[in-house]
Amino acid sequence: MMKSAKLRTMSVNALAELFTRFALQQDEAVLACDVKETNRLFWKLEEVEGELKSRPGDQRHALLPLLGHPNPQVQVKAAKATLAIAPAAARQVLETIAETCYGPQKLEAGMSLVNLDRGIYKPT
Amino acid sequence: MRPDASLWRQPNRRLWQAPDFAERKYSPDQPRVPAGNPDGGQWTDGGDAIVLPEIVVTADGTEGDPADGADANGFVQLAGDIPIGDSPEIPKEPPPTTRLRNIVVRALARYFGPRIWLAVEAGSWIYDHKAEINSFFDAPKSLAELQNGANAPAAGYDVHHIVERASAAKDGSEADLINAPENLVRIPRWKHWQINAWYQTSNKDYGWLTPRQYLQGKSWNERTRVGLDALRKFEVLQ
Repeated sequence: MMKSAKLRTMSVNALAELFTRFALQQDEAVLACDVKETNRLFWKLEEVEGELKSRPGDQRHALLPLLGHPNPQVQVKAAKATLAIAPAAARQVLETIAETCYGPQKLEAGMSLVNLDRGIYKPT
Repeated sequence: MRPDASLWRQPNRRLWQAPDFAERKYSPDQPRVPAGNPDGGQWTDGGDAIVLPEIVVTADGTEGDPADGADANGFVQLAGDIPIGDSPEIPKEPPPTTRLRNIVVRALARYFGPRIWLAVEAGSWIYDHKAEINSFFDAPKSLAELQNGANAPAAGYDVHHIVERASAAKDGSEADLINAPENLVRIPRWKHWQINAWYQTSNKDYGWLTPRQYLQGKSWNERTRVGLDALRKFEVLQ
C-alpha cells in the first residue's frame, strides 16, 4: 500500500489523477465481483481523498471535474468524495447513475441516496 | 498493458470519446494457468480468485496477494489484455481468463443495456452468457413474483436471501426466518452476485464498515429494510 508520506509529496492534480486510476481499477474489480480487490482499492481511494481533504482549502475540489467522467465508477467515487463540499452537484450525479446506469454502480449510487435521505450517511 | 475499463462506460454516452485504437495483442510471454485447473493452459492475469463466500469461488488465476507484483502506486500489471478496437468493439475471441471475460461481458451489458444483442454477432462467445445477460435486464417484479420464483429454478437466476444468511444470529435462533419462503426470492444471477459483493465491500455510508458488518446485531426489520432497498435500487423489485 502506498505510504501516506508519498501522497503528501504529490501535487493536487497528481492526486486527482491517482484517484481516477484507482477508481478505474476498482471498476474492473466491481465488474468481476472481486470483493478483495474492490476493498483494497476502496482504502487506496480513501487515502487519496483524505490527503486532498487535509490540504489547505480542502482540495477535494480537485475531484469535482470527475463528476463528468465517462466511467460510472469514477463518477460514483467522485460524487461520494465531494458530497460534503458540493452536495447538489454530487447528489445529482448519484441520482443520474441510480436512474440510468445498467451496471453495479446503480446499486451503490441508489443505496447511497437512501442512506443520505435517512440520515445514515452524513458527509463530512 | 491493463484492459482499460474506461472504454466501457455508461451512462453518459454523450460524453463518450473514442479511445486510442492502438492495436493490442496478447503476448506469448504471458503466464499461463497450470494444467489441471479449469482454465489450464490459458493465459492468466495473475489476479486473485473471485471471492463470493455465499456463492461460488472461481479460481481463474494464480494464488497470491493481489498486491504482489504491484508497481510503486500499487497497480498490478495484468498479463492478459482485452482486444478492443472501435468503441466498444466486442472482442471476437473470448478474453483468456474467466475474470477478464466477466469484466468484458458485464461492461458490454452496462454499455449497451437491453439492446446488447443488436450489437453481438451470431456465434459470438458472448452467447455463452446469454442466460445471465437476458435475466439481468428483467423488468422489476413484485415481491410475490420474486418469492414464487424461488421454487422454480431457471438458467440465469439464483435464489437470494433478502436478509443475508451471514447476518443470522449465531445461536441459530433465526434459522427458520432466514430460510422461510418470505425471505427467499429468485433474482437475476449477476444482480445476486453484485448485491452480495456490495454487502461485503467497505462503504463510507456505514462508517467505513461493510453493509454486512454494519448490519451485524441489527434488528430483523432493519436487515429486511436494507435487503429490500437493495433489490429496489437494483431494479429487481418494484
